[in-house]
Amino acid sequence: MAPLSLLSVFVTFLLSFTPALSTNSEGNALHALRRRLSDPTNVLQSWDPTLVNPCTWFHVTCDSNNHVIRLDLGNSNVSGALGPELGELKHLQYLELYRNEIGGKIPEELGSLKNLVSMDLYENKFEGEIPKSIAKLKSLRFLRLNNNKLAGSIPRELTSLSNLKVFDVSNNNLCGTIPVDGPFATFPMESFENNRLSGPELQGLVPYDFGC
Amino acid sequence: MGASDATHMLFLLWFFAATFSLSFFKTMSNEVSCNEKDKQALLSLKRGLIDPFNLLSSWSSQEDCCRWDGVHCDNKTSRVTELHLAYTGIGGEISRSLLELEFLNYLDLSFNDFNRTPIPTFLGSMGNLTHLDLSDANFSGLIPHQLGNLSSLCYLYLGSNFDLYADNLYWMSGLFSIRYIDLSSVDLHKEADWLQIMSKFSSLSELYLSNCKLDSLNPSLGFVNFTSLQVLYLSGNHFNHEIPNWFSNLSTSLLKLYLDDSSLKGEIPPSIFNLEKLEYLSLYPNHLIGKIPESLGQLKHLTYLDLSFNSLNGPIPLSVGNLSHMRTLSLNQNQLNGTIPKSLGLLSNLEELYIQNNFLTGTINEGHFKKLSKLKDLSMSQTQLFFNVNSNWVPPFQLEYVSMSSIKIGPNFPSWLQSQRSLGFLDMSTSGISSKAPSWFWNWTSNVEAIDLSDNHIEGDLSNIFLNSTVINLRSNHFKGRFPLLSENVKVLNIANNSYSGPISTFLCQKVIRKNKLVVLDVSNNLLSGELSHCWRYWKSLIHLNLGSNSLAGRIPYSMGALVNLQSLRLQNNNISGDIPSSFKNCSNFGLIDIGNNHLTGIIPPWIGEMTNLLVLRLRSNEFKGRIPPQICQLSSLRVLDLADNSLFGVIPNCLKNISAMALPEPNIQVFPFDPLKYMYGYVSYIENLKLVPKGKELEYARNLEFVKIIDLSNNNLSGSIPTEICVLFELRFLNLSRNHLMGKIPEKIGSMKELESIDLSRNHLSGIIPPSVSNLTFLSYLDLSYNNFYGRIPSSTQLQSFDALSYVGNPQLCGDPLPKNCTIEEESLKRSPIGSAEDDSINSSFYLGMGVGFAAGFWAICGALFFNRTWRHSCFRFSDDIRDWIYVNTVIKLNWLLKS
Repeated sequence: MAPLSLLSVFVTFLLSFTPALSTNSEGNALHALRRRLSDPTNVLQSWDPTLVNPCTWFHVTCDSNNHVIRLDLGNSNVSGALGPELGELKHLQYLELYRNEIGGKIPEELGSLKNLVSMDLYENKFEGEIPKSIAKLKSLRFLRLNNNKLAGSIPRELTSLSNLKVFDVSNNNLCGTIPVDGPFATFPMESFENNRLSGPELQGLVPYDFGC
Repeated sequence: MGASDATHMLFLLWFFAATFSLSFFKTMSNEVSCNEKDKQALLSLKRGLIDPFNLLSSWSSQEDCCRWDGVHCDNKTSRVTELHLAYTGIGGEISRSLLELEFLNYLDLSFNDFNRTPIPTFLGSMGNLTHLDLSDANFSGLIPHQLGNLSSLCYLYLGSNFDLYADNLYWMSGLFSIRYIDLSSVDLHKEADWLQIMSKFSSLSELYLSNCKLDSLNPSLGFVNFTSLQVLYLSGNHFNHEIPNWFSNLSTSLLKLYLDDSSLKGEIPPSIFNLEKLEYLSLYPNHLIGKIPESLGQLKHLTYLDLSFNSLNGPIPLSVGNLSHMRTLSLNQNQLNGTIPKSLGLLSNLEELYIQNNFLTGTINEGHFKKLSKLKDLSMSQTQLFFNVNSNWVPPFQLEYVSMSSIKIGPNFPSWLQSQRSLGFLDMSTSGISSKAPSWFWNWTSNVEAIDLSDNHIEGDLSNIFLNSTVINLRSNHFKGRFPLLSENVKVLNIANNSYSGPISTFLCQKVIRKNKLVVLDVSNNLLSGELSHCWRYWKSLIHLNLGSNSLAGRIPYSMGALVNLQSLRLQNNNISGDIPSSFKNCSNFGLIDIGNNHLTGIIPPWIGEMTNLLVLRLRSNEFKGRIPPQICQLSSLRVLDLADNSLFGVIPNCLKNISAMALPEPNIQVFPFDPLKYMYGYVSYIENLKLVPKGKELEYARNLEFVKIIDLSNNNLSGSIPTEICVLFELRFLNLSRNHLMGKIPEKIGSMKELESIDLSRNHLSGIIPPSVSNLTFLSYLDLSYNNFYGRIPSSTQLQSFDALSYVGNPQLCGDPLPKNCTIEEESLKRSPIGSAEDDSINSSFYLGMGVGFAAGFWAICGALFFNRTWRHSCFRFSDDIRDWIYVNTVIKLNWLLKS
């Protein structure tokens, strides 16, 4: 019975008269994300898996070439984890997933979102380490990872993010010292509080992951 | 319609089942006469029961109780041994007198309605019961532990009661004889040891625990040791982990394994393929990854395999050819790649093959179907396969269902179809067919119920062709000529995006098509011209009509009001002029009106407010004048209001709050008597599409249209202020009031429209501050407030600072991030506060003072010792500077606030 009903659902999807679009890796990536997330309030209802072009999906914004540039899912009651597919959103500029119940690790693959301006994962349940690959996001201006369960040290590689304007990792479980180079010279102390961080870095004296 | 049919069917089924089961057992117990004690017990039972259909009418004191419906006595002792009361619709109280039936071993009360009462605990005292069926009988509450006393019980069915739960299952350990357990839909989330308990039953052969809210398939202790389990049904749970390895312990017994929809992760473990007797394996939809192991071929007895809707990759294993009993193979909706193994052609029992929506590549030819003589359903759409068979190929099968959309079939027309005499459904859309359809083809289609050849390059003239299929989709091809001849059977004809040309009146007014019974006609995107015809009386069965994107001119004829069944009227993107005819007043079924992008003039008629079923009103890009009639607010189902790009003046009606579809959440079940956005016929659906400008860019909505809530009044001459009442449209997603002459402020509570994704108020004369509540709009992804007279600081939120300065330019007195202009003290009308909590920052200033002092003390304690390091020193002072500024600013603000209040 169940197989039959699901079969008819997908068949119905497949056979609609709207012209099929060619395979779109961004649509597939978002669809994969949808499948990883639990969505009790139906925020992702419009993410139709058969519409591979995701530009008409809610909370997704495309540029004039139909590339996904924004994902705005802040405060939307979703839980689950992120997957490597998110790295397929090569044109993404804004990744707004704050204030949800998303857990698991921050995927390494987010480092391939070369155009990312803003990564807001704050107030979730992310764990594991801050991936070093984030240092590859040279356009990044906002990086807010506060109020999660992130552990390990703050990757030194992040000091090369010269455009970084806002950085917040407060209320995590981070250890080691606080970088002081590059943009880190300007971030206020609140951005680091409530961790196990042992104060600003003493270059050459103490290893940066001292106390981890 | 479908729902009521289904209800009728269910009722009929139920009735037959009831009549059959009751009369069947009546005849079986012909020869015996009834025990008086049993009779009194049954009468007492009947007195407590509600029997709405009077199906227990034979239960009267005059007759032999062994001949009563549903009652079965022992042949020798004439004592009541079985009660078959399923599907009788009974409810009420189950009397304790049941205990008097001391020889009762079979009790079936399933498919009844006991109105959410608990399962009677005294059932646990009926020690002779071997069969207890209480499934789908609307019992609720805790399953009584007393049932564990039924040591003779072989069959226990408690499934599908939806509101039953168990705090633990240890009470079941007394069910020594149990062979069959169905606890589907019983809430078992409190029982972590279910696996241990169930595996102790040495004679258990079938276990049904679907939708039980189980969260682990891993044994809580020890290992799992079912000895004779044949059927295991665990669908619809939330395991959220990998498939455990203990299944291999069942290798000598298990025949059927269902793990559908259970949030399973990871790869399919090789241990599954040790289940050598397995006939059914269902693992869809889950989150499984990795390859399908080559060891799949070990499951020699498999007849049904469903791995669809996972994330499996890699190729289809070669060993699939060993599965000679296979009847249904579903691998669809995965990420399988590689070519299809030739060995697939050996599955001589295969009836259903579903491999669509994968990344499969390569060529499929005659060899792949060599022995598939029983194949009925074939679906391989949305893959990269090339279906390359010889033009004189005669396939071994007679298909009923073919779905080959978005694979490569052409350029030649698939002539093998001619051999298929049972086909009901054919989808070869987007398959690269570019030759003309052969002469036999259209005649051949007359028995095919639904046919989809859209998005190919098929050429042809259907002028004298007689079509008989119910659904015909030829969209996006090169068809031309006159209208085809249609039998009364044809309901859907989609010939949009072809090369039909000439005057529309000769196209639609031919005598030969006057008897059509078309429900959907889409001829949009052709080259039709001339004025809209006057022969609409022949098209009265139409529900969806799309004549958009042709070169139609002239007025909308009054006679078009004859289309009283019409739900969707699409005339967009033509050169139509004149007014909206008053005859449309009769068309009360209109749910979608799209007459945008024409030269229509006149006013928006106030009687449009009587079209209470209207969901979509798109009048965009015309020359409508006058005011927006307040009657528009009576359209309580409206979700798309697009009046942009006209010459409307006057104020925005402040009654827009009455449009409840934009104010209230969507009910879970569609309550529309009809759905003007789509037409469903069997497997096929015709879906309305619509071009809207939600975020500054035109997008075409189709299947998602049903979720869109938009108000677009941009580029008119509207004046006055934005009505504050608009803020109760809590479901609105897109709001565009740009390019008007609006004055006044943005309503303060705009932030309560939580679903808003886009706000465009640019190029008006609006003033005042940007309300702080805008910070609450966490879904906002497009904002344009440019070229108004806003002043003060831009409120702060993750979203608001994510937009670039262009969203705010042209407001000389606006300041703060992301504008390059910093705020002066005077402009500092809003306090600085943490992101997103602009309004609820009410901690008083002494807190900050105390915190500052405490911090300074702690800070210097650490800092002092390490003071020699230069970098450290710099950052240290910079930080103390920052914190001092911050404490100062906050203190001043808080003090001001305290003084004010």
